[in-house]
Amino acid sequence: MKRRKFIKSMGALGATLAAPSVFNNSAFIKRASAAGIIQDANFVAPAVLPQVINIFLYGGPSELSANLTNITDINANSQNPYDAVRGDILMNMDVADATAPGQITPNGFWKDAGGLAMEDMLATSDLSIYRTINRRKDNTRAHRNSILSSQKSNLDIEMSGGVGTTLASVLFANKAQLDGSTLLNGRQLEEMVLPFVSFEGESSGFAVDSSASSVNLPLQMRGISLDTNFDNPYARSSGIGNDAAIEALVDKIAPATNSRFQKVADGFTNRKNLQSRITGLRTNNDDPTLLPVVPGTDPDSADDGAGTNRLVYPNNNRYSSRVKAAVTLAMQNPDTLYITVGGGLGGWDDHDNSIDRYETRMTQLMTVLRVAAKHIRLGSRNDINGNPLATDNIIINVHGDFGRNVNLNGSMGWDHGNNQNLFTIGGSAIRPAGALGKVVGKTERFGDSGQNRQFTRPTTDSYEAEPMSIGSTVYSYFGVQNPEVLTADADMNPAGDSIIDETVAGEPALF
Amino acid sequence: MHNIKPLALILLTSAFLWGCTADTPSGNSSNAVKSYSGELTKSEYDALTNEQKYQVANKLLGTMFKGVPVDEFFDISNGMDNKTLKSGANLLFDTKRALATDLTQANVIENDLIITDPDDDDNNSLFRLNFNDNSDDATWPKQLPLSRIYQYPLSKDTLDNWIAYVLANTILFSPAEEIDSTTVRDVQKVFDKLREDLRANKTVSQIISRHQRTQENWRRFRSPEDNTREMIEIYLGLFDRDADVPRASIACKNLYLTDENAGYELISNGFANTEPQYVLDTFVTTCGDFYDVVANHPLVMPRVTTSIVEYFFFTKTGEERAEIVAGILSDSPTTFQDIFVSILFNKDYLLNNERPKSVEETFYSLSHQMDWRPYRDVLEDMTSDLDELSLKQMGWPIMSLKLGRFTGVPLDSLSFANYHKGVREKLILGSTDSSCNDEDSNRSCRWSTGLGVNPSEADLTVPLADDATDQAKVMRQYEVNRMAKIEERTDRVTGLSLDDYIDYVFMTGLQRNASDIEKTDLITMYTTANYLVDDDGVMVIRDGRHDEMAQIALDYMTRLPEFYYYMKAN
Repeated sequence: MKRRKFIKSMGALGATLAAPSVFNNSAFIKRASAAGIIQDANFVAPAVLPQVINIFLYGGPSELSANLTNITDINANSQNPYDAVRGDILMNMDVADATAPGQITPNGFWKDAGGLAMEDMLATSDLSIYRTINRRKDNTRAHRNSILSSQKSNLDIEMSGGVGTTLASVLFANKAQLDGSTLLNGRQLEEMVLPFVSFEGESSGFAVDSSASSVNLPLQMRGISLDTNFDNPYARSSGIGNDAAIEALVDKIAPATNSRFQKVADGFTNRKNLQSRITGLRTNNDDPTLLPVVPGTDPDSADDGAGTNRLVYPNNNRYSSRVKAAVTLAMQNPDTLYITVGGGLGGWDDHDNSIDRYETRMTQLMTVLRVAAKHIRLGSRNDINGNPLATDNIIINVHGDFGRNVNLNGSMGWDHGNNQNLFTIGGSAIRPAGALGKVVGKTERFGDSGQNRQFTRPTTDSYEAEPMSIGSTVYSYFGVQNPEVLTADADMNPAGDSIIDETVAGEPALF
Repeated sequence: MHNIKPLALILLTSAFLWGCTADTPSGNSSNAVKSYSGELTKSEYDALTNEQKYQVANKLLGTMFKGVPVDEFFDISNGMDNKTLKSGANLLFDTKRALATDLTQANVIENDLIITDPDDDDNNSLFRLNFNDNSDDATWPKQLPLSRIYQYPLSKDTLDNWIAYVLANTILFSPAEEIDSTTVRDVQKVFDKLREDLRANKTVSQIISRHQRTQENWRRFRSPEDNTREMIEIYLGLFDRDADVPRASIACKNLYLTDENAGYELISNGFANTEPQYVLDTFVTTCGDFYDVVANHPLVMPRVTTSIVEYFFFTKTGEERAEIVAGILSDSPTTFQDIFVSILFNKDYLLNNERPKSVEETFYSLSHQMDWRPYRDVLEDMTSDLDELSLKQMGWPIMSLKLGRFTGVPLDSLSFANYHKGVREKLILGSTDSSCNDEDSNRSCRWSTGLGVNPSEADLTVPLADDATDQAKVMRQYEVNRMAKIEERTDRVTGLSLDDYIDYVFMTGLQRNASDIEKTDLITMYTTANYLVDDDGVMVIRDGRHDEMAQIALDYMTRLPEFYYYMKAN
């Protein structure tokens, strides 16, 4: 791969750290409306504090990687047939020989678009897939609106805070229940270390809540952004001056203006806090012996050089560093409650010549997620008192702006659609029984044959959920009994959105 | 670039005969100097204190990535307490007139030769742009606009370059270098076409109409449905016209982008649509019809103005921004220059708008205020992916994001840490080597010379060789002019008292005098470091210590949040 190609390929999830905040640029200036009200959330401290990693696939990935159940119909009606590009896409795969022709896996996944890794994770009950995350409220196909409403789990995209911000606000508003509890090992909420972390720079998942009910969060409870390699730009090199004397002068002068220049003042405080901490995080991230021991037959393993077979994150994979960093942080630091991972818009915005690139990208993503699932399931760790601590509270959610049309357009790509998948991994201690190891939702093709606007939609007897239900579910994991109030908007969505029903039965395998 | 040199000598000879230099615009002011609603008036400016006037200058010029040294804005020969206005006396009029004045062709060529050395024959051009790099990784197409904005004197040329740079970084015209179907050549094309359009004073509608049809735009939005949807959203701000998109895409159905192997070319299959489609409340048949409807739609100017206002007023409330947009639109602007100049001179912007500065605004404005001659690779560092000065690492990549830079400077902990580190370590802290060739050895190029505290050791009296190139001659003249100015400044600055010198450095870095606490603590640090000496009961600065003292003071300033803000004048 040419260097530029490699660098650009990173953009699919990671090259452009700041892209998520692109969408603060509203079309026209809008007035405030009433977003969900933090104070109305009924909070009951959970038995176990969850840790959620939210991987957002900017651009909006096609759902076909996990849903070829309608491919025959799609192929017959598409402007450009799929089987002209991928000759075996209509065929079931040979489960005894994965190299044989056939792209449809037993559960209807796209074999060469990550389908094999999905099947593996399903078999180990590390994963569930919801195929019918379908937007019926404010059914937009615009990136900005879709991303913000997903990352904020609210239709008031101008005023409401990101999911991470809302979560922090709920916890802070209910700190009396949490302070000194066993959940916090007897500490105060503000004593938690790096509870909210972005691996995508400034993230709309941590957008400030500008609504009337916003909670004034202390700095410790706001999102911190870290480099995926745990690089340390927070440390300063020395100048010719006496550093301590200069800092002492700063401490005399800066506080008077810190509230006026809040964001930069926060940046300096974070810099100071992170400059020493980051070294330890990097050491842990780089230490292969902190990855779990696995059987020698595991396809995601390698000899660690000391004769022990351990899990390895794949090289030459655009998602490895970011997902590994997020999982390592969650594993090593139980205080980290919500992590956002994402990257440059355009990575999944497959409008043209899409199939080859999509297959490669999805395979890489699902392979890394399979490693991450094993990392969580097989890994071990201790709490701050040195006692063993389970890892079954760590959840990874993967979703995007929207799904895409299923018609292969004149540029051999897919234009913006609606119905999409939610991939959700781990967290068995947090979810109801039977929540993992299944594929939920049935779809059908809809739209005129030979036209571009063809897409999948839930069948009338299928379970479906709004994209904002993903955030609602996260809030519920953390103890919010009525998360609808946090996703509600007085003008556009007064009832809010309920949680995803994780007790719904999965679909049977195709073969 | 290579074809400019044969012309250069003739034109430069003429230019020198006319007595102009690279520092001053010398062309005709054929563009009208307009007035705008809500602009800061001369009487309002005159009523400000001297410090406020310098803050206004810093904001006005810094927004355009320019700046004026304290010693040029003020006459400091009688000390900082008794400073009087020099160039600052007519800041508003002089700046507006300059922005309406085209550079002569000779002046453009002269400045281009100062900026770049096309043959890289070690003539020490201001920057080192590798025009021979034709790879997809080339960064010179990003460096060239930045270099021209840096070096060109304040003029319509500078204004047009800056506007094109800002626009190409917004959602309106980003070349989207981050995505697979684009390369840095799309960056080059988008920027150059924008700049040429602006040079020709084309209207907003003309520019949008032209841009929509380009291959660069199709490489960004790559199918008929994607392309038409985004044009409606980006240029009209309509996010709820999903039903129009399939019909608009039929109008563009003959166009497609080839695949990677065929070079992502925009091709028509030759079968243009013939059936009228109802789009945006009118009928269009061809893609050209659709693009014209968008470009001439009544929502274009409100939408474009709103986008630009949000870029510069991102800390204001929606209602406040709406008022500013309404004010601009009340002047019936037709060009991007109308919108940008209206904002630049807007009273609310200059006096009341408090916001974080972008990296370019901080870096460039301070560089100019210190009259810094940068190290030659500074732009390579800024445009790289990984250097400490990389704007990408600061969450602020150049002409890269598919939907443009976000509204508001990224100040998350990672982006700001890189921002602070880059500015502090690459601009403020210096090394002690003696060449200008790279960032590790840039002593003679450090800001201390421009600031007037560290006289240059360069001997500019040594004659050039008989066969010296045009570029070498231009650079020699540039250095001679620069050093003549700086030598006079050095006399004034090194003649300042200790108190006044500290104020001078603070005025340069923060546009204010040092407080008593700051002076006391800094003087303690200077005393401990033995930079001061008692002269009959008066502490004075030891010879040769001004540089270190400024370094410490500026290091301190970079640690203050206010350093990263354009502030309200009051």
